[in-house]
Amino acid sequence: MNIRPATPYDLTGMQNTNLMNLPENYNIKYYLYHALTWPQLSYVAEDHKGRVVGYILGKMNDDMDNKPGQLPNGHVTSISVLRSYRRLGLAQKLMKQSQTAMKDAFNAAYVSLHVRKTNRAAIGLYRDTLGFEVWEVERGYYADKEDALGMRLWLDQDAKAREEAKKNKN
Amino acid sequence: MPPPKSSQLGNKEISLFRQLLQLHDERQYKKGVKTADSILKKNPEHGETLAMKGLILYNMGEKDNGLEYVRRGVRLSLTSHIVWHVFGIIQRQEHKYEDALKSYTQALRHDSENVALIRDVCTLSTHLRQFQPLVEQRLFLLKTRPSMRTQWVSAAVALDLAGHHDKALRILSDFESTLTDLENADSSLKYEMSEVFLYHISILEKSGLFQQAIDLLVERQPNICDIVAWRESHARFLTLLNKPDEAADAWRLLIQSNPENRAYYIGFFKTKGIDFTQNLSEQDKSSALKTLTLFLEQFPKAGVIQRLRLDLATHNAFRDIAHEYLTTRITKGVPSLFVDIKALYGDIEKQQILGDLAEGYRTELEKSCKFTSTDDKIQPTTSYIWTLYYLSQHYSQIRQYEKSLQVVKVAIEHTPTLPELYLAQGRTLKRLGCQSEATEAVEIARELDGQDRFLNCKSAKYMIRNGEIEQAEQILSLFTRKAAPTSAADLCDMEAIWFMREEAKAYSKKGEYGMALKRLHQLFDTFNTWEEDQYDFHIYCLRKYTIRSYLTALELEDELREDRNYVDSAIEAASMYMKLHDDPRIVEQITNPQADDQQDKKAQKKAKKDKEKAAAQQKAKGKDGKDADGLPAPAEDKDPHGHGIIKTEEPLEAAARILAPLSATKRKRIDLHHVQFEVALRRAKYAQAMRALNSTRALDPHCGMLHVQSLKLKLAMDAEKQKEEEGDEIMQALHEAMHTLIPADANLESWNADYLQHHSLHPTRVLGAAEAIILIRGQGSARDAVNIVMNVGKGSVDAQSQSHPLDVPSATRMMLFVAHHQPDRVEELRCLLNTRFPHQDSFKSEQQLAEQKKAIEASRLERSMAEVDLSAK
Repeated sequence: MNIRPATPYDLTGMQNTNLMNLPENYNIKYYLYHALTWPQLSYVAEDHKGRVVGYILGKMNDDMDNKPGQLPNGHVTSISVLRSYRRLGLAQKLMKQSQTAMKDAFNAAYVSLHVRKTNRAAIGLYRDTLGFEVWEVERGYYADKEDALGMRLWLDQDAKAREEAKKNKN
Repeated sequence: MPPPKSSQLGNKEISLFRQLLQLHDERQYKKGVKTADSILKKNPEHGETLAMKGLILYNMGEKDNGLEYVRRGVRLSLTSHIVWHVFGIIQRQEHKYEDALKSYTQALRHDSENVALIRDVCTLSTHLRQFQPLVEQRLFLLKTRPSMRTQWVSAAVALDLAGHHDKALRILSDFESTLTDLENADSSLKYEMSEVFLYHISILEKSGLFQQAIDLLVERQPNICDIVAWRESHARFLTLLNKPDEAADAWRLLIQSNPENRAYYIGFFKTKGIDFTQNLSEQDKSSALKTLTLFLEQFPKAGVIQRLRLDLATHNAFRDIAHEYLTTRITKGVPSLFVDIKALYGDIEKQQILGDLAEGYRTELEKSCKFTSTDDKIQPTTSYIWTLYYLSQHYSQIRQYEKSLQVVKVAIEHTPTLPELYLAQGRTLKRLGCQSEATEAVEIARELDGQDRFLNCKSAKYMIRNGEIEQAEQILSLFTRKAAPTSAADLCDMEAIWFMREEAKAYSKKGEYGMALKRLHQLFDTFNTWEEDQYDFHIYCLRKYTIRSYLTALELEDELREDRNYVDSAIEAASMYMKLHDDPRIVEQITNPQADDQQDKKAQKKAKKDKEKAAAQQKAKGKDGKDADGLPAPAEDKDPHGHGIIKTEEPLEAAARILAPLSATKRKRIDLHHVQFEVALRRAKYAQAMRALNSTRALDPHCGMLHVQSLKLKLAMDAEKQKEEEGDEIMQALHEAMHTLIPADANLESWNADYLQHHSLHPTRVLGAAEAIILIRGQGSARDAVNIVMNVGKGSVDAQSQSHPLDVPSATRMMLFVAHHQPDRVEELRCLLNTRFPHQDSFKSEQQLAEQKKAIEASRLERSMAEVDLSAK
């Protein structure tokens, strides 16, 4: 499968993949918002005919004004690969491209994502395959009040050491 | 500039009017209305106050009332910029962009330097792609605000859009020369300017100025944040400037950063004089293969390299590479293995080799649990299953359906818990036309993993195709938002195009045109929304400087309706509207069904259930009318069965409106031209009809529809001719054009006989000739026409020997033709087609279908019994 940066032309294909796979869905405008704000951070995997079979929708966390002192960090809004294209390591390859771009273009210190505490399959993918670790628990994060695990993948190891020291002090 | 009308007011009212403007800006609407009323008490004819009151009322939800006030305000102060501005704002909110731009332009005439106004005009001009006025306004803003970075870039974008690349380049160069000390700028400014440089470079590239482009690229390298874009541009320019060695290095660097991007290898080999998009010589193939093997040593996990090798290798080399490719993926259990290499099946030799290899594995695995007798490694049983899975798809692809089903059956008996096996089985059954059994297979897959939405969607899709719409929606609701009134409502809200299309087709097949058109209109609405979506980004992207992506998005928006989903849906909707036009009784039957009708009872039951559910949700909702997800409550569905849509007065006009955006499509779609013709003919738009015929002829000069439709147009125009003494010039030209399709002096009988004789081996053309017979001789000759069609069904021509074998879509058209012209022979034709396509559900007898249904119900019962057993344990 071919892996390349996503363009606005891929957004409907990404949306379709998302709708076939995941329960959290978004309108095209939200995809467009990603593509037109951080065009470097989203990637697609496509089959021989150019159909999207997997994608990562990435952004930068832009709430820096609300949380002073927060390190620049990327965020995975959504990542998924069609069931029929699994076991090719596509999620991992998509993730790697996006995280490199987060660091190169936006100087991200880490990548963050949220996952439902009960979604064991997804937690497994993020931790065992993609190298994320659980950083914090956000109580009642979802609309139905379920807790979210805030997971992080550190890109800057020095920053990680500093942040961990800070966390232990508190 | 004329004095503002507020000067008519007294001093007290002038200050009240200022308050009014402020209250509007602060959204203090109730106070605003009061203030407006106190001005109007003294000055009831004050246009600007009336307009402002209208705007506030509009914003408070009193749309009609508000609009009325605004209109009065405009009439009373035609020269006030305020009333026109207000009018424009409302028109914009109503999505009447052309009208809004006109109002804004009026406002600008009376207040030409109002920056807020000019900005709105720019946004609207961009949205409407009116680039000339956009350029003027942008240059004006730049002149008045040269210290603002965004004005420079915005002016360049306007010039670029208007096609003045040289001027855009000049502005960007001037702008960039003012940037200093970028190295120490904060990170967001750095990123923004990086985007500007890359945009600048993209205009140079578009203008063919590759040397300048690469110079700027290299000069600005330290300022570029988008490393991938920098490297891709660098490699591209070096290639274009014919510097093969440097270019090769540049592509190599890209491959290193992403070895899974196919385009990078294509770029790399192009520098070596090997163009993957062309047919390659044996020598090129083997040299590329060698290089790829070297790349593979460097990036052993890169699937793209391995796959490219399969494209290039031939004969024995192919066998070796394919062996490795297949066995590693079978061992790993990669479900996409077959679809991944399906494209190789165009090459008969490769297809043969792949089949031989897989059959070999099967035999050896059964014997010794190894892929080949010389292997040392013992394979797990999963390898055997995935081999069978591959083989089943292999046989399905080469149309050996029975064999495909046999193989997958063996696999299922061995491992009944792997959903993929049932998906493969379902796909083959679907290809055979056995939709109900296919649906059953895919439903078993879903039941095996109820947590997987992919299987859920697949099963629902098959059910919808099988006409089980209600059940499909129930299954889909396992994954849609619980707060939505129905799963269908959620999927339409979430812009699930696949769902709207599948349901539209299924409803249409059942003759439920109301629901079918409802779904299609929901799809068209989604495309309208997507077009609207760009509006906010006209301002946003100029602030964020992400111009390159923004311009791509504009391009995409311009060709939005070239999307296949739109084209297909437009054709379907227009065809349905034509059915409603041709036979208005259909509408009556759908909207006023007999009370004792079975279907209707079912529908009533469902409506009741839906209503109960909605009521329950209403109860569950908070006081603020928001659902559990904190989203606003969904609007009530005012036309739940689509009756409002099909009662439309003018179905033909509706069809024409839907087809209008496709009048200049780049897509080569003969079925689109067929529908365009039929709609144009019924609307007596003969020039449009002729254009459609010419488009059809360009794609297939022997098309059976072209034959019939030419005749239809000729007959229609001849009838017109008799009415008028002398046709006008256009008609004259059309008659002449017609003579290139049907010679002026032709005897229609022999013209048609000729066509039939020439194309007697081609089912759809024979069908065309049969239809022509009825048009020429009248309905009385239906028997002759039907006879010709029956002969095709009988297969009087050997199915194997002809170049155009009868397929299911043509056979279905034959059924419709006979049903229309001689209903008492339908059963005879159905029997013939049933023999020819024994699995096709639509050609089966009532009895066959009943038996099939019984078997499926028994199997469902058995499965649910097993489940009960299991949970009891």
